[in-house]
Amino acid sequence: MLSVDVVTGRGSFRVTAAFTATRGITVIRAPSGAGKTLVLHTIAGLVRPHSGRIEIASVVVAQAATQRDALIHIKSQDRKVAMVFQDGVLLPHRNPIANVELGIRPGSIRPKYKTERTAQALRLLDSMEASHLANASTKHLSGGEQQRVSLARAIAGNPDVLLLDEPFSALDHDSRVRLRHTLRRIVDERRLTAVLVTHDSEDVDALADRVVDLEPGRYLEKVGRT
Amino acid sequence: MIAAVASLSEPFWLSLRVTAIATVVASVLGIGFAYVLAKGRFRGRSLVEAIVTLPIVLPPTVLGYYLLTLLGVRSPIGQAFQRLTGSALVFTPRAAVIAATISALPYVIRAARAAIENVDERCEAAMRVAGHSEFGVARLVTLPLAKRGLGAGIALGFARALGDFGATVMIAGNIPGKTQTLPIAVYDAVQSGESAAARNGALILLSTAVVVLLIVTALTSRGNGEHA
Repeated sequence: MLSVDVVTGRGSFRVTAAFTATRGITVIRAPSGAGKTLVLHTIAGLVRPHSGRIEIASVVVAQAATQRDALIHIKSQDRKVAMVFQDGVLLPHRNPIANVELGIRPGSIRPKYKTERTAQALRLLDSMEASHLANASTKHLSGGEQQRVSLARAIAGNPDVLLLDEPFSALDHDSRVRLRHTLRRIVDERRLTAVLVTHDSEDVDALADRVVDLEPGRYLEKVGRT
Repeated sequence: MIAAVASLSEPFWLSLRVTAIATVVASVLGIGFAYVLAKGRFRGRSLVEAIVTLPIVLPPTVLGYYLLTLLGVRSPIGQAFQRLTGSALVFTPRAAVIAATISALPYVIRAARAAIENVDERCEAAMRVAGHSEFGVARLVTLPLAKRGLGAGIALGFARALGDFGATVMIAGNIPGKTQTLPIAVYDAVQSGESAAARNGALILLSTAVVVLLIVTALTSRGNGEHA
């Protein structure tokens, strides 16, 4: 379970987000430029909140310092979240299977031998109906193929929370429909907690177990310091 | 101080050795500095940046003068070195390596820094979120994706190290067979009217520079945008 109650931002931009996400797909609906990506980055630990706190699986992973509360910032590396971006953001110099292998979280549960990791990555690609892409050239994958590999990489880390940043917006209609099915199946099979941000109402209709409307962020007036 | 140029082979091999070592040292230091400057958010970053860029804009003789002040036999560093090793630091091939390294460093740093800043931050974020340490992210993502720019910086640094005259003359001197590098040998050859040696030395340096610039162009023109 994920619980978010923060004000976050970059520069003088501020966005407020307060919601709880449980097992299934929580869709955060907001127009472009509302600060959705910032909210996801804050959950992932790439950005620190200005105020409030975030809990993942009942552990406080981020908390802004106040008179009562101490500052808490668990590094991205230790938060057990995974991220899928708008366009795959795969490593272009590694083939798809190596990309998925790199998604396997370093640490105690990571298979010790590379052959095991490769086998695990291949199973994940297979579950995304993408095993035929294992050794393809990453740079030449289509948008939909990239997102399948990217999803496999995200799942490989066995995350507590899966964050998806408009994962279908760069795809054509057919790939979008097929990938939505894949995502639904994966989330159900693995009983994942997924947070998907989108401005596409079709995503909401097709996938949302819960909908959160994000109030668009604002720029602070430049009066004094914040 | 005009020493005769007996043959170009000694200066040539000395230059090659000095440049090779200087390029390796400047590459390691330069990429490290570039990484910190590109990624670090710390007070005094622009001052560090200005200092490491200085060798580009300072007259090489002025750079050499300050290096001599810093490392000379009467300086604390020079004396410490002498006590430890029994020999002076300046007016040795080692000093030529130092001069070449310092001259090459800013070129490596500038190219490497631009290349590192150009790497898609989301690629790095994806690996960070997947649990890879900062070192792992640098090794798996940043440096491989920046490799063309790093290569260009190293090539430029090599050319600059090979071509250094002013700083080398100031702290390593012009001792034939010991610290007389190829650019200095060309100067000597001109001064003593050995036009064949001057012509050949100049030709070697010119062709190396052209080859290096061709490499740099090839690395930077195809590399940009490839990973977008």
